[in-house]
Amino acid sequence: MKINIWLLLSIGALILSVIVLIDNTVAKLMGGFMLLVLLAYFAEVSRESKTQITRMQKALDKLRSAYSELDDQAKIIIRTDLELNRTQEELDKKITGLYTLHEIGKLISSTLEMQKVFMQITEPLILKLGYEKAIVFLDSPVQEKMECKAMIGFDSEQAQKIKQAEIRELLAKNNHRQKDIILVKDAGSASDEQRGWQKLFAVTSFVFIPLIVKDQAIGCLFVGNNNPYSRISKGDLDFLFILANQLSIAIDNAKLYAEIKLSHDELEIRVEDRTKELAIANDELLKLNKMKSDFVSAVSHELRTPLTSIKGYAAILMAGRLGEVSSVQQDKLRKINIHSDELIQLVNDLLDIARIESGKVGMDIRYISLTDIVKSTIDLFFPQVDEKQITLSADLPDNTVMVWADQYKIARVFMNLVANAIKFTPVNGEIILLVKPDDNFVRVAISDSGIGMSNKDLSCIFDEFYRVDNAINVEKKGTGLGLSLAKKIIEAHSGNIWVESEIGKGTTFYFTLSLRKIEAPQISVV
Amino acid sequence: MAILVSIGKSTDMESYSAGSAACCQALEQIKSGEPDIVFCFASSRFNHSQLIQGIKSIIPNAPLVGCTTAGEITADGPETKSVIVLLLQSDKLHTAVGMGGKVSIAARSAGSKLARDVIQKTNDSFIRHALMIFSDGINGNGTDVIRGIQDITGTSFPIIGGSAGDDFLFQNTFQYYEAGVFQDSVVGVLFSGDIKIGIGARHGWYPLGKPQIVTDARHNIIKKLDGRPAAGIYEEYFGPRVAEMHKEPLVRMAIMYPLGMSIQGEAECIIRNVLRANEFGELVCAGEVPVSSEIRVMMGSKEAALKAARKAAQIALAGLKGLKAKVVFVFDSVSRKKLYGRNAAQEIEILKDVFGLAVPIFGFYTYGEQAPLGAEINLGQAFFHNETIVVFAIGE
Repeated sequence: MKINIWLLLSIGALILSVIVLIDNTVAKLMGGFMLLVLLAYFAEVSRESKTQITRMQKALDKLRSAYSELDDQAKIIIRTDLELNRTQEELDKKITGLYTLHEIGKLISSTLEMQKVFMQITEPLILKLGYEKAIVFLDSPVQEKMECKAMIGFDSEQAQKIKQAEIRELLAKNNHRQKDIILVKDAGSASDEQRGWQKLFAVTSFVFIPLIVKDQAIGCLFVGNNNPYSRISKGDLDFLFILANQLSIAIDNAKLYAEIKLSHDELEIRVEDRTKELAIANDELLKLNKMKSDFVSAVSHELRTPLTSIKGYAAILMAGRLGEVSSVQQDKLRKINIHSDELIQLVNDLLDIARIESGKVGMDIRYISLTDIVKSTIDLFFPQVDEKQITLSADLPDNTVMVWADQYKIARVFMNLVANAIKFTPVNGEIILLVKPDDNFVRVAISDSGIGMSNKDLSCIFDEFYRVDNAINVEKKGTGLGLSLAKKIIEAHSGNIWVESEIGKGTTFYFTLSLRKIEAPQISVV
Repeated sequence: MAILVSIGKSTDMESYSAGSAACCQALEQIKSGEPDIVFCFASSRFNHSQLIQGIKSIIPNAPLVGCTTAGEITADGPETKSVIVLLLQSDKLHTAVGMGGKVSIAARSAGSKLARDVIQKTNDSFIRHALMIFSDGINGNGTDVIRGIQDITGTSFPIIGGSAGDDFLFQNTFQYYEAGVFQDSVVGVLFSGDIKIGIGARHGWYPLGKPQIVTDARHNIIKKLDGRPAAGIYEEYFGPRVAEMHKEPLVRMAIMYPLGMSIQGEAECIIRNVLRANEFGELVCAGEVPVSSEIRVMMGSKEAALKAARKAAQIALAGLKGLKAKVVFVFDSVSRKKLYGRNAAQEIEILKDVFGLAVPIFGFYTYGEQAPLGAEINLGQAFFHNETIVVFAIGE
């Protein structure tokens, strides 16, 4: 405000001086006055500005200190940001590492083949983990060397050099047992020996981590970096332990699998070989058996003709047609006759067995009454049992039992089994024929109260020419073919035959016959 | 005939077979003889001459350019330790390749040599559109290379590209030119003909803290900030962490917090990566920093960086004036990859979102980027950038 007043005053003086400009004397006076006024004005102005400048200077100082304060805050921000960036870098590395470990873990556990395990370790994965180079060394049981199973980050020339290097010796030379971790962080902390390694692997920092399976080192994992700014430190070990562990497990699994597979394959080959051997032996046996049957058949035929002649001539002699026969001669001739009969029986049995075995026998399968066969068997043996005072009875169902079978052959089975029972049943004994039809088959049991058999005899009783070693057999001759023939006949009818016995108590022979029509003669063709 | 583009990739450990495999994969898609040009970006892990021999075994005659990277980029996402190959064939689009050497001692003349090379090889009747360059990412003054090119092409000629990397090792980078493998060089391709191009470049980093004035500098070395040794700026801002600077090259830490230099008329600061602090406490930058520039420390955030990537892609798409993009080149700062961490693929997804899923994307993670400035006041003058994503789209 003051300035404005002074300004108005000086402007007023200026106007006045212009008005009186014409009069020189007045002009001089006015000029002097104006000068005074102006001087006063400028004095006031400079005083004002001075205070204003000091005020502004104060404000500026304030601003400046605020600016410095802001700058200090900027420094704090940058330092915080620096820390944040470092932390983020670490975190990024850890997170990426974890993801990658997970990925590797999934990949290597997805296969059981050793080579595929190593194929899963690829360069992108190792790079993602933050390493430029990696090798998996495995102990080789054959060579006294460690084998490079997976190599990442090396060209073929470097790889060749590393493969030739005696890694195990290098490890040993450094007084490192294989289970030790060897960590070389940078050139400064490396020993002379380790500098050689740095050169061999073309890295500045590296680590060897053992691969341990069941407390036993099986190899080691090498990772290294050449970039001096991504050195491998103790912080890396956590991850690398996990990786080494995953690898060890995968390798162990693959090894076990390979072993199991190998022994499985071996077993399969052995089984195959054995089967082949057996098949050959079986063929041989079949051939031999056929030869035997053919031989028996041929011999039997050759025997029957002269036997018939012997029996015929003996009959002629006995009839006295060739002259008088004394009673002694008669007796001998009768013996000739009996033994001839026995021989003929033996030859017939042999022929039957041979025929059945060679498949030459014709089976006359008809729908026949089993009941009738049982009854006629009892009739047939009546004189013999009567003589020995043995009770021979049949336990038959009310209805006639009909079966599909060869009547003559089934009658033969009954004859053989009942004759046998009579032979081994003492005087006053008992023989029962039980016929019991079921849904599909009929079961026949021939039980006697005879002397019975031991277990040893039971197992061989159906074998050809097998004769139980007992007093009765010594006294009474037999061919040893009766039961064998019975078995062949029953089996030819798709039936089963078996025996139960106890010494001193008796024996029961069982056999089954089908109630259904059997398609074709079931013959055990050999 | 339209512009035919195909891309192949290999992660084979053997350099020769990696080169031939990537090439075969790409060639199968073109199916019409030799392409006009082969671009190759590869991890520094390879034996580079074997790698190039592998490529040449499949495509012996077409010109070849490329370089080593700090990570490769295709539409499939970011890759590491791989080689990627792009084949281009067209009767509308013309390309010419060139090279300049000794970038570390004579960056400007290397740039000029490259520019003369490519112009000489290009028919005068073709419209020249842009020069794509791949320069050594560790040695040399990136700004001087651009200046050398501009000496020949004029200051407003669009230059795009990326500086070669070496998988974040900061030791050696390589440049591929024809059948040779070079270091300390710059190689480039001039695009001309009846096509449309679009260029977008953004970073999304924002300035933090007090501006400091460059009081002494020479080319790409900042000697003093506010009269004090320049390296002090990081000691101030990093605090106790600065001790780590002495263990690692500064660039590994500073790459997340580069220096920003404001440029008149531009929406964003130009960023300068600090390559190292020398024994005099001076900061050696990837590009030039003039005296009296206002410098601030910059900080990145994922959201802002992704937003910037989308913006850069949209600007590039707009440059095509409604034409369909046939191929999209990406030169993406390795610091961005570091910032995104394991989510680096998100940025590529954004490019696919802007350009469409079917458009081939080809590029790499760089140690420095080249792109023109956007503001009219700067007349499209190309600059050397850091922390930036450069998107270069060709349409027809």
